[in-house]
Amino acid sequence: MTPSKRALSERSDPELVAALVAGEIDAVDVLFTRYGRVAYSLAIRILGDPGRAEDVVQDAFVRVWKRAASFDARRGSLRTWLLTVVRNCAIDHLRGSLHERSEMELQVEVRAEGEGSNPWREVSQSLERDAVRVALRSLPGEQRQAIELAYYGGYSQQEIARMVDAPLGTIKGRTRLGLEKLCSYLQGRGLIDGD
Amino acid sequence: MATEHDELASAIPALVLGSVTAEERQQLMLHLEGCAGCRALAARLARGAAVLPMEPDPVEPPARLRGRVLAAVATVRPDAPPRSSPLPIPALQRRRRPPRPLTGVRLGLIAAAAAFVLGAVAGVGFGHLAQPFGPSRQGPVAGPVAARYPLHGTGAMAGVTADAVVVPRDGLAVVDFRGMPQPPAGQVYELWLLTGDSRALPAGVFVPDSQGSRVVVVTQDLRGATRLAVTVEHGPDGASAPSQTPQLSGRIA
Repeated sequence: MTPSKRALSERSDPELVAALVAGEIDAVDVLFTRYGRVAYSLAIRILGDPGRAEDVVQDAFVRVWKRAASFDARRGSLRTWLLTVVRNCAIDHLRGSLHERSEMELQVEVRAEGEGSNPWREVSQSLERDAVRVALRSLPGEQRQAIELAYYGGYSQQEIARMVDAPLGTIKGRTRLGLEKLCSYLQGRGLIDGD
Repeated sequence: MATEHDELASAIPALVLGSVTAEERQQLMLHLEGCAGCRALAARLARGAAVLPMEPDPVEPPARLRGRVLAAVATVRPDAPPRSSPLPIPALQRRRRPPRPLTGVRLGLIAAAAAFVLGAVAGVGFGHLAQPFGPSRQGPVAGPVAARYPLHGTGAMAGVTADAVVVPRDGLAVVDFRGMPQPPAGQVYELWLLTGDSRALPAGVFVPDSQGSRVVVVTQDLRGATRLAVTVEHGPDGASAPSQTPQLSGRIA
């Protein structure tokens, strides 16, 4: 690893964004090292196809590189932004959307995010993943299903209602209740901020 | 009977999960601007939605993906920093934020980004010697991640702009063609890797789009290749050896 590369890899995410804005392509390399695996894992989860997941991750990184100047850290973290882009690209691939989704600005920081050394980041991400899984498993099946179909499948509430043969209002209620419980669980464990 | 507010509020969970249409989203974001209660609800639920990407089983990406990403990124110019807020609708804000102050550091970054973009457009810095993309302001760089090489056209290809971006570590090259004339009917362009010992290895065929543009990813082994060249060959599969002298070529090593 070269001196400049090492310096980049030690930078925080906001500093990495500044490097992206400055057109430093090495910053993309560091970004991939930091979040390439979680991005690819998310794309695989949504698409179930390694080849298409590669396409999506590539598209997402290009989009983040191209639009780095519009990133606003006050709206959320770099990781959340990147993963939102990955998710949206994957859903577009999955559903054949003709319209590029705008990246959701409803982004928030997640406490367990690690920006330090690789071992710590991996431990941090592993703990976070375990907590999210436990939280999701703790939800009633119908609530979890509503959240997963919306997030990983990109289905609208109307589509989910038709799929599971339930009234639209019921689906909306399940989704909200599920998200509320998820938040409470994660807040209780200090993984996300409270109000 | 549900009010309009209730109707909008009931769509907020779908909004934070990213499963609303662009029109619904715009309507909801507009509503959030004026409704503190819904804004708080959206902020709360968004915290839960934000962790969902962490749930999937970790899967190690294939080694080539890093190279693909870097090669693709190297062909794209980053957008210049916006003059004002880039987002049409502020998200989860209590009020509109004032423009971000242009500090000395930020001005420097903007200037650097602008210089990068202008340099890329004007070809400044991409002369006959390959220039590595990257932190030229940050001291010496050993082994750049990617390097850009211009291809030069003659004859019918004189007006073509083509840049090859090579990612040495991953043995990948991406060639960005612009201003290519359409090949004659039934023919295609064929890209060749020319080696130091005068061999020509086929690296793919392509036809430019209606704007004369095409990006070609070269995944063949680049070891030993010193130049890239383009010829016109019979379509759709091209030839196994060049049938003419290339009118577009450039070195890549």
